[in-house]
Amino acid sequence: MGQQAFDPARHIIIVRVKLQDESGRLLYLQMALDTGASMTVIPWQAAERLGLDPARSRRRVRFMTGSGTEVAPIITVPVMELIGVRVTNVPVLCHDLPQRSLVDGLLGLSFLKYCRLNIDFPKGVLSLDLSNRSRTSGVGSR
Amino acid sequence: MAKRVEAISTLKRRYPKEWLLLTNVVADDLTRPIKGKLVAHSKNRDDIYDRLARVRAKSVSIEYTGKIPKDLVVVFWCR
Repeated sequence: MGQQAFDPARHIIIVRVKLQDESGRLLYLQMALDTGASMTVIPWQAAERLGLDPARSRRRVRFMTGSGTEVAPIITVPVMELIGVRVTNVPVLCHDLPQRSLVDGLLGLSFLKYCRLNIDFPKGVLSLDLSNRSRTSGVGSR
Repeated sequence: MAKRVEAISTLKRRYPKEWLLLTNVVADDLTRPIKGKLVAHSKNRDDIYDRLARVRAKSVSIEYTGKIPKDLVVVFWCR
């Protein structure tokens, strides 16, 4: 199980997520933990850095932004890791969040659904572990 | 730009409220980067994303060095 502290006085929980491509190249991003987001979101250039081409993805979703409805591609990131918990083949949506969001992306349910997540707001501690279900879903722990 | 690996805490003090692009990343046991070699820094995140495409290093990290405002919220919804 991994744990990290966060500031419960803020309206956002920032986490550091490690993404890995099939050749072993690593990319670390600052992401907002979002248990209400169906999809994990990463910037377009991050996907390209991982050798993935969002423009060629056939999977697309519509989503709402402050300026209206947009369509964005979904790709599969080979490995994502948060505080020592590693999930493979994670579907992520490619979209650049507004610069003023001060994060690179969102860590949503497409990653978190494989984990047991505990957010202790009084103590300001985030705990994460792999769920039993993940062992039958092509997901592994390091 | 820097030729050596430095602590991210040091870089945050040197470049406050900026976006950093680091290579040769050293992370702690919980996947959190703690050191790296500075490749680029900018107050504009797009500069860092553009540079990301040209970096060949095996490990890369993007860091924002400012504090997250207490009143910042991120709302996102898709269907």
